[in-house]
Amino acid sequence: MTGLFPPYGWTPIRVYFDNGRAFVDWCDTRDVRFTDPFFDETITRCLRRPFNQLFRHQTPVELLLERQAATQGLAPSGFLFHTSRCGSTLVAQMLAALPQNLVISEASPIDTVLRANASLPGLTEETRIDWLRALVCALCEKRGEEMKHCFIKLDSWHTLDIKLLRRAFPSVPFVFLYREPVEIIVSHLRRRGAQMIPGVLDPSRLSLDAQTVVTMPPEEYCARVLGEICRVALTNYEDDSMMLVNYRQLPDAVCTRLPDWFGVHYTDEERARMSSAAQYDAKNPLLPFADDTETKRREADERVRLAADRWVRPFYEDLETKNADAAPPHP
Amino acid sequence: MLKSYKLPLSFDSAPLKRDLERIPAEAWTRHFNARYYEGEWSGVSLRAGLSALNQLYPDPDDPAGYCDTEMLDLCPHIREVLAGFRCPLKSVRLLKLAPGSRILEHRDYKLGYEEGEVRLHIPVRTNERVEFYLDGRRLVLKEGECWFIDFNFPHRVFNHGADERIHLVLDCVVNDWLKSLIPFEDEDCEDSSFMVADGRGETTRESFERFRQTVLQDETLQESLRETSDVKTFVTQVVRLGHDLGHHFTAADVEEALRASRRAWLERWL
Repeated sequence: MTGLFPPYGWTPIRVYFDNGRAFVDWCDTRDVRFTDPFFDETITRCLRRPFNQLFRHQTPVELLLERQAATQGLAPSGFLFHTSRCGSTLVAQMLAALPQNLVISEASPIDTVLRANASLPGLTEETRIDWLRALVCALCEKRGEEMKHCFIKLDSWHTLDIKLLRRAFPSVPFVFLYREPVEIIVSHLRRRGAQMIPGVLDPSRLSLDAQTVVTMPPEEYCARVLGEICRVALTNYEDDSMMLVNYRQLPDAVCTRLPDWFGVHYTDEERARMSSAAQYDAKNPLLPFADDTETKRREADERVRLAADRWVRPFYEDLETKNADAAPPHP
Repeated sequence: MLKSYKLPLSFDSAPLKRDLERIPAEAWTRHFNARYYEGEWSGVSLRAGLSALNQLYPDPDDPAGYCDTEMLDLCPHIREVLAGFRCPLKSVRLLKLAPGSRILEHRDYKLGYEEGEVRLHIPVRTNERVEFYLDGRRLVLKEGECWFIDFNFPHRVFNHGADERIHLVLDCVVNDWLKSLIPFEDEDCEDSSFMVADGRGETTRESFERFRQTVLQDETLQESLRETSDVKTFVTQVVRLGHDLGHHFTAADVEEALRASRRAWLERWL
């Protein structure tokens, strides 16, 4: 791998814009395993090392494309789309429990590239696709001999860009994780995810205007975002290129349906290892996992139930029907 | 754009220092930008917006207008200096940086020739071990001089000396008189005022950037720095390695670069 620049083992951690151009910030991650619940947590951990604060390659984005041409990064084995608060981090942590898997979870540079047209007006979809492919290639670079598969977990709102991602990665298996909408909304009302704060997503993507989103009751805004994510996921389902997984089917689905869909094979021992990762709280692996379906349902008041029924329920039911059609009957 | 300029005005600092003696210690209030400094940075308001007479914050646009504070009554020599300015004055403050204190690199906004308002500095008490950097270049401001500085550019101040650094800071409305004194449109006239760091005219920051590129190209040098986890030890190590390789940057340049890097990561969503 001589001549590679930045050298092998450096990872793009940030994409930024300066004077109408896009740049990439690279960090030395040679001895790092991406096992934290989120990519940015792993990077924050790397950046505690003073060397990584002071010495980073910063290159024009075009260098990503050159690097892609020069290396053979692993093609990703799967993309995980999700509604948020539906067990997606659990799935990522189970996959990451095996040393042959690299899981890139909600990496901020992917988000920046997906939104790059907001910072660089006139940027074509084609260019964004080129950047995305090159970025994913750099993120999925082989890290050590044992590494065989790479999985990308996206941010929940990237489901809205699923068509563009499908065009960029036509043959990668997609999975969409979802959950009963009342349980998701209750979780966001407890502690709001970024996408559920009005104004973080461009209101036009929800066919709303800026004024309406800030005056809307929180449960309605959450329900509309969630409904839109489910609606867009369904439009992509039509071409049969996505597996649907309900929170209820976790963690078993990770050891049963998912490997087949991703085209990978796990031994009994590996399945056991993944299952043991599922015993812990995915976002805080020091705590044991606790199913909170009942408490979340009890916590939901009438307004939450009405908002969920009005803005999400029809799509949820459609997802459930398609999921039941596709899933083999439980043995 | 003109970044800095020494005006053709100078003042005797001795009577101004006598004014300082008359200001009671409790009149000095801590600077509001607590994020930007370490140690002690404080000030006294001599002229302020009417809506906030007792605050140190220099409101650039107080609709009620500006007037002198009681503190100015204690400072007849400063009053005399201010009277010589034939342009409208908004806020006027004394700002004090205690020995060993530092103002971290930052920019000030909404201050500038284009906005119609500029900030002038008259050092009243300073010392040779004060280091003031504007956009990566060190600038030496002496007692009694009067300087225009565009604080929209990143700037930082370290007072390594044993004495306080006290500046009289004037926010002035740009008028024809001020334009006749300061060639705002001319950027060539500022270079001679900079203290250059070495024979090549390279600033310490430029020296550090060259060093950084050298390390990024050289894996052996990287290995010697990678494993250090303590920041203080790391900074010392980097400065020593830099000097061994013929560079002349300082620990302040390294610390500033570390801060800028942390900030870039924390602000990646903005």
